[in-house]
Amino acid sequence: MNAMSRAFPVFAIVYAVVYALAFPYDWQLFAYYPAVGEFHFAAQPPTLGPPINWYGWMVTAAIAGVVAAVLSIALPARWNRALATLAWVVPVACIAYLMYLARVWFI
Amino acid sequence: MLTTLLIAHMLVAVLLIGALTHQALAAWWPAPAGPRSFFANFRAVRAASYTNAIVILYVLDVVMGGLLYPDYRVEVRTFLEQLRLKAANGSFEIKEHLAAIGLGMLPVYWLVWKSKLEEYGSARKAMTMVLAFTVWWNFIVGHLLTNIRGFGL
Repeated sequence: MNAMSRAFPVFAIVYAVVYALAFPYDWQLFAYYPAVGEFHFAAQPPTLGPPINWYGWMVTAAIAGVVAAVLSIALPARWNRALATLAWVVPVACIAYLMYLARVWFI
Repeated sequence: MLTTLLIAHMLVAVLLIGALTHQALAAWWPAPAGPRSFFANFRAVRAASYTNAIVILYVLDVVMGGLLYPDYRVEVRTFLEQLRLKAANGSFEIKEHLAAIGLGMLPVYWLVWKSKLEEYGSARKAMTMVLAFTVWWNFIVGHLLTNIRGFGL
């Protein structure tokens, strides 16, 4: 439980931050082209139809989160309380940032 | 098959909304002892007992949403773009972001509810509220988009 007390909050923090950055900066590990049913690591010409980057953003964020979570096990236990707070504050801030980016749809 | 999956996605979302709303209200506004009103009874649940079910239902709903997404991207989004329904597209974009961020919070959400430590009290309440907001937003937007042709747009 003690290792999880640092690994799980750190995963949530890093996952949220990397996801929030992956969206505007196109950091998707891969894209899925549903019109042709193909996965690609690199952007494809428009003839393949619209891509879905959402899966790729989540995988990118999950990889970063897992790496950070493994490293965080070395952190001292006194960080547990602060990490538990950051584990919801940072995702909320990332949601606010993503909503700010989405404002272009509403104006 | 697609319609069946869409209905199953919504039914799982209904279960998730129920569980998260019970848990959030019980955490934020505990029911008093003694005789209770209908609303107090709604809050008078053992909030921690919902945790595993919420995690499983959330993952299941995201997986089903992910399976439905390709058809949405090709058929529905194209339709919305042709009609210039920007707000509908934006609402769905927020839905996918909320679902993704909530997914990343599930391990720590599970941890703070399973741990009996008092120091996790505020994190427990806040994470439950974030997930409840996520699920409510996604449920409402999902329903609006599914029925968008019925709004006379």
